[in-house]
Amino acid sequence: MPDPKASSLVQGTLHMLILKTLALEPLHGYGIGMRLEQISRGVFTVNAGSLFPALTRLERGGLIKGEWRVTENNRRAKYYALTASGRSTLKRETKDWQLQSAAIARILGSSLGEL
Amino acid sequence: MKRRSEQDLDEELQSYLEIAVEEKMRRGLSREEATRAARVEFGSVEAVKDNVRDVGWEAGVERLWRDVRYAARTLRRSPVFSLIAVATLALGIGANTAIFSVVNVVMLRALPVERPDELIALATAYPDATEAMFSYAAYRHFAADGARAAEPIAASRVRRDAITIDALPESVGYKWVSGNYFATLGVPALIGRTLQPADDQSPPGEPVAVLSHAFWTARFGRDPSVLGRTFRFKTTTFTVIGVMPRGFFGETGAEGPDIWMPLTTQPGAAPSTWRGHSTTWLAILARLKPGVTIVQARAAFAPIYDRVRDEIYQGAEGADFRKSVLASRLSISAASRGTSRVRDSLSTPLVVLMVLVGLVLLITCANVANLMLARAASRARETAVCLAMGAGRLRVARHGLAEALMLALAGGLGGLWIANWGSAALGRAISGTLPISLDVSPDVRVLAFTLLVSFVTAIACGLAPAIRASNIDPLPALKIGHGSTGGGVRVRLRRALVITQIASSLVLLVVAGLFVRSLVNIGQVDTGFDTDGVLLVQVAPPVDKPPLSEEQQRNLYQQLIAAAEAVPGVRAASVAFTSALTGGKWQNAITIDGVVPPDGVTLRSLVNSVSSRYFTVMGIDVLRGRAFSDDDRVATARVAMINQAFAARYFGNADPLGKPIGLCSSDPCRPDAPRMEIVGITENSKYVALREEPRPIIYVPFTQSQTNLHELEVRTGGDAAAIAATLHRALSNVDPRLAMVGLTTMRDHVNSSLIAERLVAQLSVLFGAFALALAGIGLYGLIAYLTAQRTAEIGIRLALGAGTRTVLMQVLRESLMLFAIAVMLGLPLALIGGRLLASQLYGVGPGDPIALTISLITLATVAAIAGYMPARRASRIDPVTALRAE
Repeated sequence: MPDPKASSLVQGTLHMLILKTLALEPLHGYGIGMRLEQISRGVFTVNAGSLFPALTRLERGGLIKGEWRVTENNRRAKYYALTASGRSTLKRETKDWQLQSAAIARILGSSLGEL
Repeated sequence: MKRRSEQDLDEELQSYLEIAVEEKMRRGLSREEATRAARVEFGSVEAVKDNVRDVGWEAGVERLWRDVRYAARTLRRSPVFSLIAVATLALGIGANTAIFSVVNVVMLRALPVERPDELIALATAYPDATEAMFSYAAYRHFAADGARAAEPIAASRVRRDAITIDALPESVGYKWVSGNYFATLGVPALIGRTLQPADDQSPPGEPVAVLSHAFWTARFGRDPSVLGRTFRFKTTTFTVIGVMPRGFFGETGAEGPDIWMPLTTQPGAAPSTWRGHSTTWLAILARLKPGVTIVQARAAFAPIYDRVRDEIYQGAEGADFRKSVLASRLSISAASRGTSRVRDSLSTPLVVLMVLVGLVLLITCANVANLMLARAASRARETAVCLAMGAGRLRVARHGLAEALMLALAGGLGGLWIANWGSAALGRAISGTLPISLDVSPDVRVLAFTLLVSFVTAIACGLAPAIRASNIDPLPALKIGHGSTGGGVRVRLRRALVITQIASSLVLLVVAGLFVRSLVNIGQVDTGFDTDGVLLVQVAPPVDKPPLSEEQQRNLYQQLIAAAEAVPGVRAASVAFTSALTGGKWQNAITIDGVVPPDGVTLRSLVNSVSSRYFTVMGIDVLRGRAFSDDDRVATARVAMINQAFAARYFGNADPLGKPIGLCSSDPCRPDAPRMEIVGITENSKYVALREEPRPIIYVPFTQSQTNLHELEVRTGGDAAAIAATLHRALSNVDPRLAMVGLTTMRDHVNSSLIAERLVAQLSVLFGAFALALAGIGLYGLIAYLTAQRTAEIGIRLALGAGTRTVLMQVLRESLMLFAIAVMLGLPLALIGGRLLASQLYGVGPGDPIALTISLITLATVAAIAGYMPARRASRIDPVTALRAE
C-alpha cells in the first residue's frame, strides 16, 4: 500500500491528471483509475468515491464528454474524451504546473552556495 | 449544464464494478474473490453516489431538502420530544415577539404619513432639561419666517370636553391643529376633505371639523352622510367636513383625538391665547423642504427663536423665570415617529421588558438544547450506524441542525400565534388605561424579528448537540448498548446548560421581585386621601351665550352636589378644581405676611379650589382648626386652609392658624393682594404624582374663588362602581349646560397612573415563573439522566449494603452542586441588574434583601423538588433488577 499522504491528491491536481490521461486516448472510469496507477507506478490510487465526483465536475464544466461504447470484451462502458476546451485547459494547467513545480523544486533543492 | 441522470450514474457505476471484477479475474482471482475485492475497493455505492450528487449548486438545495425531510421524519418518530420542544420554543419566541410588537409600535414605527423622514420637531429647551410647548404667536413667527427651510404645523394636546351632536352633550377628545396640518403631513381624508389653510387664517377661523376613523365608526356607524352634519362645541356650531383614514392618530402617532378643529376656531379663548407668550399650548412639527437638512433647518429657525425669546423675556414676570428664558434655546430633532410624551414614558419600561424576555429566550434555548442533547445520547447508536455506513460527519451535524431549525421554525410559527394574542392583550392593557391607541398588529418588521429570533434560536439550540453528535466514535458506540460514548463531554455541556438556566432564572426572579416590591411600595404610598369608595366625575364647565354669571355658576355646582348627595348610597359629594392626581395643576404666586423671600425668588404654592365637604369625601384629615363650611360664602371673610408641608415650610414652629396669606394675581406680587385667613391645617396629600414628595398646598373655598371647577368627587357607602350609572343619570338631569365628560373610581384612576409599573411587574413575574419552570425541568432531566446512567452502580452499592439515605444524598449532592454554582454566577448578575434598574424602582434598593431572599428560596425549593424526585427513585432501585438490566 502506498503512503497515504502521498496518494491523497489535491482535488485540482486530480482534475489535471484525469485530463492528461484522457489526452492520450478516451477511457472509461475504471480505465482512468488503472492508467493513473500505472503511470504513477502505484503512487496514486484513485478510488471511486473521488473519481466519479471529479468526472462529473469535469463533464459539467465542459472539459470532457462522456459517451457509452462497447469495450473490447463486449461490455457497455462510458468512455470519456477531452473536448476542445478541455485540451486548452490541460495545456494551460500543465504549463502553470511546470512553472510552479520547477520553482518549488528549486527552492527545496537550494543550498546557500547556489545563492 | 444538465445534471446527469440517476439511471446513467447507476449504469456507469455498475459497469465500473463489472470491469473491475473482470480485470481482477484476468489476474487470476476466482469470480467470488474478484467480486469481493472489487466491492471492498469500491466502498459504499451509496456514498459514491452521494458524492457525485453533491456536485453543483442544485445539490445544495437538494441536500437541504433531504435534511429537512429526514429531520421531519425523525421528529415525527418522537412526537413527545418534538411537542415539548416546539411548545417551549413557541412560548419563548412568542413572548419575545409580543414584547417586540409593542416596542415596534411605541419606539420604532414611523408615523403613517407621507415621507416621515422629513419631519422635525421643535421645542423650547430650558437649562433644567425640561422642554416646553409654544404659544400661538411663536407658531406664527415660525410659520412666517421659517417656511423656506421647513413648513411648520401646530397642534394642541388632546383635550376632553363635551360637544352636542343631537340633544345631549357627549364627551369627546379633540385637538386644535393648524390649517396646513393634514396637507403638510400628507394624509388625505378618507371621505370629504381635510382642514385647509383657508380655514385657519386668523381668529375666529372657519368652524369646520374632521373626525377620526374610530369616532366615525363608534358614533356614526361609518355613515358617509356624516359630512355636512353639525355639532355644538361651547358657543360655536361646527360642520363636519371629513373623516380621516383608519390608523391615523395625528402627529403623536398614538394619542388620537376624536375630532380635529382649526386652531383659530377655539371658542371662548382668552385674548392671551392669540397674543403674547403667556399661554404655551402648541406642539410644533415641521416638514423639511426638499434638499434642506436638519442642520440647515436648525440654522434657519434659531434666529426666529431668538426673536421669540426676546418677546417672551419682555413679557415675563418673575426674576427666576426671566433668567431661565434667557438661557433657553430652540431644540430641533428628527421626528419621523412623531412626538408623544405618553409614548416616550413607556420606552424605558419596554426596553427593560425586552431584556428580561431575552433572558427567557436564553433559558428556553438552554432547555431545548438540553432536550436535544439527551435525545442525541439516546440515539448515539443510530448515529454511529449512520457514520459506519459512510455518512459524513458534516452530514450528521447538518441533520442535527436541520432538526433544530425545524423545531425553531415551528416554534416561531407557534410564537407568532401566541404573540398575536399577547401583544393584543398588552395593547389593550395600555390603550385601556393611557390615552393612547396602539395598533400592535404585526408588520414586516415584527415578522422579520420573529424569523431572525427563530434562526438564532435554532443555531443556539442545535449547534452544540449537532457537533457533539457528529463527534461520536462509531466503534465503541456500536459495542456499548447505552451509547455512553462522549458521555463525559456531553454531560459537562448539559451541566453548563442547566447552570445557565438556573442562574438566568435567578436574575429574572430577583428583578421580578424588585419590580413587585416597588409596585407594592408605590401602591402603598400614603396618598393622604382614601382612594376606596370615591367616584370621580369630570365636569365640563358650563359655557353659554351670554356667559353665566359667577353666581349662576356657583349655583349650578351647588345643584350638582345636591343631586349627587340625593343618590342612594352616596354619603357626601364635593366639587373641586382638581380631585388630586388627575392632571390638573394650579400653581400660584403667593404672599405670606412676615415671610420675605430671598431676592429674585417668588413664593409659589399649589392651590386647589374646593367645596366644603371635599375633605370628608376625599378622606383628607383636618389636623387643626376647621374645614370649610357652607357658611364660607362670597360675602363672608376670606378663608384658606393649608397642608402640613405648607405649615412646616413657611411657619416652622409658629402657629399658622389665623395668619393671613394671599394669592397674587401678578408676579412679583403687589402688596395689596387680598389676604385670606388660615382657618385649618390638613394632613399632606399627593397633588400631581404618586411619587412626589409632600408639597405645600393652599385650599380655598370655591365660593370665594373664580376658578373653573372641573371635577366632582363622590364618597359612596358601598361599591362605588355599582352607583356609577345612577349617579351619571342624576347628574345629567341637573342642567343641560353641564356635561359629564368622564366617570371613574379614584382607585382605577390611581391604578392607571401605575400602568407601566404594573405591566413591568406582572410581566416580569410571568417571565420569572416560566423561567423557573424551565430551569426545574432542565435540572430534573439532567439528574434523572445521570441517575439512569448509574443504575447499575447504584444497584451494586445497594446490594453491598449501602443505605437508601446514602444513595439519596449522593444524588442530591449533584443537584446541590449545580444549584450552588448557578447561584454564585447568578447572584452577582442579579445585583448588577438591580443596580441598572435603580431608576425604575421606588423605595427598594437594588440589593433588596427581601427580593433576594424570596427569589433564592423559590429557586431553591424548585431545585430541591427537581433534584429530589430522581434521587428518591434512585434510592428505591431494586438491586436485582438493576444488575439484571445491565
